[in-house]
Amino acid sequence: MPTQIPERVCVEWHLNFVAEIRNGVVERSYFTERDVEETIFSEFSEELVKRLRRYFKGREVDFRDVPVTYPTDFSGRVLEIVRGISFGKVRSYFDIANEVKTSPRAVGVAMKMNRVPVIVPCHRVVARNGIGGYSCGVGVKRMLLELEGVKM
Amino acid sequence: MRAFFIGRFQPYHLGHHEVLREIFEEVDEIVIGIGSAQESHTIENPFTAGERVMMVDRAIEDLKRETDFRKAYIIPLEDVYRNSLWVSHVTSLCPYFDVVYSNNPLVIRLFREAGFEVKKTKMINRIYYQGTEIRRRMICNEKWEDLVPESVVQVIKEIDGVKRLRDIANTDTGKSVC
Repeated sequence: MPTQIPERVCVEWHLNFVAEIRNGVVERSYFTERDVEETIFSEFSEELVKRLRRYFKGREVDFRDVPVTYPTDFSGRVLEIVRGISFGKVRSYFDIANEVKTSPRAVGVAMKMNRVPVIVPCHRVVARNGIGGYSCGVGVKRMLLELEGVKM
Repeated sequence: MRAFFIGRFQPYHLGHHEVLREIFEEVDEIVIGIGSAQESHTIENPFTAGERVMMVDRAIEDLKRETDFRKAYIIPLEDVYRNSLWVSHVTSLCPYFDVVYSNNPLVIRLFREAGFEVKKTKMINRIYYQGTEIRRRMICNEKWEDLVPESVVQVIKEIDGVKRLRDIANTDTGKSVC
């Protein structure tokens, strides 16, 4: 077989947003200050980057149909629920914990395990008395929520 | 009209079978490439190229019978680790073909750039993950036989393939899959 190289899409924003795709599945996404070269060869990735650009312009885009992977069964269960939170809406760690019958801290751990921020919108999970943490930095979380018109 | 289709066939499964059935109905002859032919005895690639030739050959007997005994060539293809040369490597080892069937984005890209007509098969995505799932089930002692044609179950039994995969998985200190 040809040597599979992951595809990489990059969207300019306050920080650059990068997503890596292999065989039509988004495997990883992250924010970076560096310029990253794009490698796109599938229609899937072309379509995805268009949607991401719309999203980072502040338009309502739903990524629920995008195939992703979850690191563990537990985090997958929690992150599936998080995918159900719509653009511009938030839920609390506590609220999600009640739904999965676990603790808010465990929900926080599952959020940290999310390999694909933005695509799986873990930034829409916040504390009851504040914004909560974010592995890419709370500043990024605040900017994402502002982008979606959420008042914290 | 002769078509080309490539897979790793680790192992040959019903996803491959459906795609090949579709191709057999549309073309006169088919070249089936066995990808990563040099690989064997690893969790990702447990079976040798020769074993995979046997799986494909036995599995397509049914398809041939259904389609007036279409000619099929089975060609093991080693990796070249240089994507810009990959298409010429493949074409140098295979009988001439006119059309390529694939859902692998990179395979599609490389053949299109080389000027080939590429058709997408109907089975999308599933084909990549079915092999992984079957190998996982084999290692974890779960039922995998319903994901491959009966003839392939026989081949895997003859070569004691499940035991080999489990042995490899046990000696491999990597991640646990069960």
